[in-house]
Amino acid sequence: MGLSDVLARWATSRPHTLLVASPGTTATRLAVERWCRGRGAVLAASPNDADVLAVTEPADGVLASAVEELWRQMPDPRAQVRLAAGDDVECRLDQAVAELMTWRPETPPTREDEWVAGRADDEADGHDMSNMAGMDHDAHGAHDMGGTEMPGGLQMADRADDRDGLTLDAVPVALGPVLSCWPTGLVVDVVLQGDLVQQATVRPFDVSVVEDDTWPHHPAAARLDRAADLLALLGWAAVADEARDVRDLLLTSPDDESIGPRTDRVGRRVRRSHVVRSALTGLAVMAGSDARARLISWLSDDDFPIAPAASLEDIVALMVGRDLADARLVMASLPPDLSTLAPRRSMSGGHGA
Amino acid sequence: MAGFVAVSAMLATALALVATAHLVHRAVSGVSCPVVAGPFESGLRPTVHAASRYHARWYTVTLLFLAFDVEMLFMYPWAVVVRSAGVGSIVEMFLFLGVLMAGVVYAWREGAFRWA
Amino acid sequence: MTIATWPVWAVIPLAVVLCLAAGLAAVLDAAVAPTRGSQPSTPVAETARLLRQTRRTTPAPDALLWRIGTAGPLVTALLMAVVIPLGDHVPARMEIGLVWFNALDVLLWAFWWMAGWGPNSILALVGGYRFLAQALAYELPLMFALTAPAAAASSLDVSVIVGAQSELWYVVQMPVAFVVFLGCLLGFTLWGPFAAPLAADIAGGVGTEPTGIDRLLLLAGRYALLVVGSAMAVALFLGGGAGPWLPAWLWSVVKTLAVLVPLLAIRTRVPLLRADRYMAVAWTVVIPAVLLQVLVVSIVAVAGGNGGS
Repeated sequence: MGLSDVLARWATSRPHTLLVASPGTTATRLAVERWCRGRGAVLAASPNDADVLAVTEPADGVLASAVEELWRQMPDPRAQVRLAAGDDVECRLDQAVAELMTWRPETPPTREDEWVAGRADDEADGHDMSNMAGMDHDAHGAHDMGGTEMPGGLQMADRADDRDGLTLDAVPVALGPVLSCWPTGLVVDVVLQGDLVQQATVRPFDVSVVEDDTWPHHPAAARLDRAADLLALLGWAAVADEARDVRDLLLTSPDDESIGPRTDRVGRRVRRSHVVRSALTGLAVMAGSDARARLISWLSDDDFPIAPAASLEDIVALMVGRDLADARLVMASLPPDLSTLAPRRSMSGGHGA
Repeated sequence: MAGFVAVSAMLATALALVATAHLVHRAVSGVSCPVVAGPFESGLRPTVHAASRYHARWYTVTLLFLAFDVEMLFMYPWAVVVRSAGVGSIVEMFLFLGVLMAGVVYAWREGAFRWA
Repeated sequence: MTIATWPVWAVIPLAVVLCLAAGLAAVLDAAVAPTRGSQPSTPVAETARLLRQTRRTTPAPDALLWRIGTAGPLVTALLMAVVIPLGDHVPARMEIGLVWFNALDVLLWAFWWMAGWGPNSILALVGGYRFLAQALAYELPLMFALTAPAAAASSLDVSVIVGAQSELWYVVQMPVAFVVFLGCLLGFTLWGPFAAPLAADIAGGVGTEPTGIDRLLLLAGRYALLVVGSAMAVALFLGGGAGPWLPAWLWSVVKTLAVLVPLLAIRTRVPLLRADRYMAVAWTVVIPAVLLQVLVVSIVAVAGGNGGS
C-alpha cells in the first residue's frame, strides 16, 4: 500500500541507533557517529528508543549476552548490524535502514514473551548471569521460595540498613556494560537505596580490548571526547555537541584555525557556569584534582594525561555514599584505561561467550 | 456551572483522543498484544523487581510543603477579597505567612533542605 | 474586552488544534534548539516512527498506572486549555479557573511519577522520584505566582484577569511572578534545566521504557503542556488578546509564540539542575521573593491601583 510505504519512508528518515562499541574500537564508533550526523540519525540511550542495533566486533564476554538481551528488548521494527574493523560502515548501516523500511507487521506476531525466552536461553547456557554478581537473591531463589513464584521470576528487593538509621529496600542494579557515556564492557554492580549508592563492586572485566590507534595519535581529540561525555551527563547538550564537533574537526582537519577559538569558548562557558561548579566541585577527588578541575583541563591546551592513574577499585570506592547521578559523573570524570585490565575470561568462558 | 459542562466535554474528548491514538497505532503497527521484554538495565537482566520502597531522602521537605499547601486554601479566597477587605486582610495574611516562613527558616537552619 | 464563551462542542476542534500546536512546538524546538540530527521535519519523522513501532511491556509492570502516567500529560494539557482565553473567546468560563489550572498541574505530579513507577524499571523509578523532588521545589512558587494576578484583579476567573489588564499588562506590575511562573512551567514540563527525570545519566529515566504510542503520547504531552503553559502566561501576565490592528485571537497566538520560542530555546543551552542543589534556594530565596511580590501587588490593589472587579 502506498500509505505504508510513505509512513515507512518517513519513519526511517531518522533512525535511532543503539551503538555498542567494544572497548578500543574508536574508529568504527566515530564512523557510526559520522553516519548518524550525515543521515540525520540519532544515537539512542536505551533499546526501547532504538531501531538499529550497531555492534562493533568483537563484542565478547559480558557484552555478548548484553547484546542478546538488548536485541530482545528492542521493539519491532528493528535491525542489527555487526561491524568489523575494515567494514564500510555507511554501507552496512544504510542496508540496515533499508531493512527497516521494508518491515511490515507480521501476523501472527512471532515475538511474545522475550523475558521468558531470555531466561530459557540463560538456563540453556548452563549458568545465570546473576551468578557473576555474587548476589544473594538471584533466579535460583525463585525455585525454592516455598512454591510462590513471583511474577517475572524476580524477587522483591531485600532490606538493608542505610545511613539515616532506617532499614530500607536495597535494590541491586548493574551499571554497564552498555550505558550511555559509560566505558563499554565495564560492569559495576551497585546497591541502591532510593538513588543513593550503598555498595559498589566491579565485576571482573572479561571483554577483549581492541588495540586502539585513534586516541593515542590524537590526544587533544581524546580529551574533548571525554569532556563531551561528561558534559552530556551534566545535561548540557549544546556544549557537549560543540565539543564533539571540535573533536571531529581535530580528527579530520587538525590545522583548521577555528579549533583553538572554539575550544576556548567551550572552556570559558564551562568555567563560568555555576551549575557545573556546584555539580562537580569536590566530586571524584583523586590525586588532588576534582572533577571540575579535570574537565577544565580537558578543555584547555594542557598536555597532561586525561586522568590520574587510579585502579578501578579506587574509582568505584568514590561512588559509594553518592547518589546515582554523582556516581555516573565520578566514572565519567575518571575514565579508566580498559586496555590495562587483563581481559580475564569469566568462569563460564567457552559457553559461546 | 456551565464551565464544568465544557470541562466534562473536554475530558471526554481527551480520553477519546487517547483511545483513538491507541487504535490508530494498533492498526499501523499491527500488534495488539505488547511484547514482554526486560526493563533496561544496561543490557543485563535485573535480579529483583524495581518496585520497592524507595528511600525519598527529601521527606523533611514534604512536611514543610504540606504546611504551605494547606495555607493555599486561605490564599486563594484571600486574593479575591483583598481589594475590598482592605489593609487589615493584608496584615493578617502576611502575619500568617511570616509565621510559616519562620518555620521554613528554622527548617533551613536545621538542614532539612540538604539531603545529598 | 469582554470574553465570550464558545459552545460546548467547540472543545473538539480545540483539542485537535492543541495537538497540532504541540506538533508545531516540536517543529520550533527542532529549529531553535538543534541537537545533532534534528531538523524541522523531525517531529513528522518521529511521529511516523513511533506509530510504526510496536509496543512492549516489562515483566510485572503496574500496567494501569503506567498507561495513565504516559497519557496523563496530554490529557492534563487539554483540560488546562479549557479555561484559557484565545483572543476574546474562551471554551469555559469558570469562576475558579486559576484554581482549576493549579489543580491540574498538581495532577501532573501523579502522572509523571506513575510513568516512572509503572514500568517496574529501576532507572524509570529513579526518574519518577527525581521529578517529585523537583516538584517540591517549584510547586509553591508556582502557587504564589498564580496568586499575584488574582489579587490584582480580585478574581480567580482567568477571563476576568485578562479583562483587568486593559490599562496595564501585569507583567509590568509583577515581573517576579511572571518569571517565576515561566520557571515553574519548565519545571512541570520537565524542560531545559528541569529535565533531570528524563536525563541521559539514567538512560532517559521516565522515557526509558515507553515505546510506540505510549512514547508518542508522553512526548506530545510535554509539548502540549509547554504550549498551554505559555498561553496561560499570556492570559495572566501579557494581557491575553489585547493589542492594536490584529484580531484578538491572532494577538493571543503571537504572544504565545513569543513566550514559547525562548522557552524552547533554553532546552539545550543550560545544564541540568539537580534538586538537592537548588531546593534550599527555591525555599529560601524564590518563595520570599514571590511573597514580597504578592505583598506589593495586594498593597497596590487596596490602594486603588489598576485592574477592576
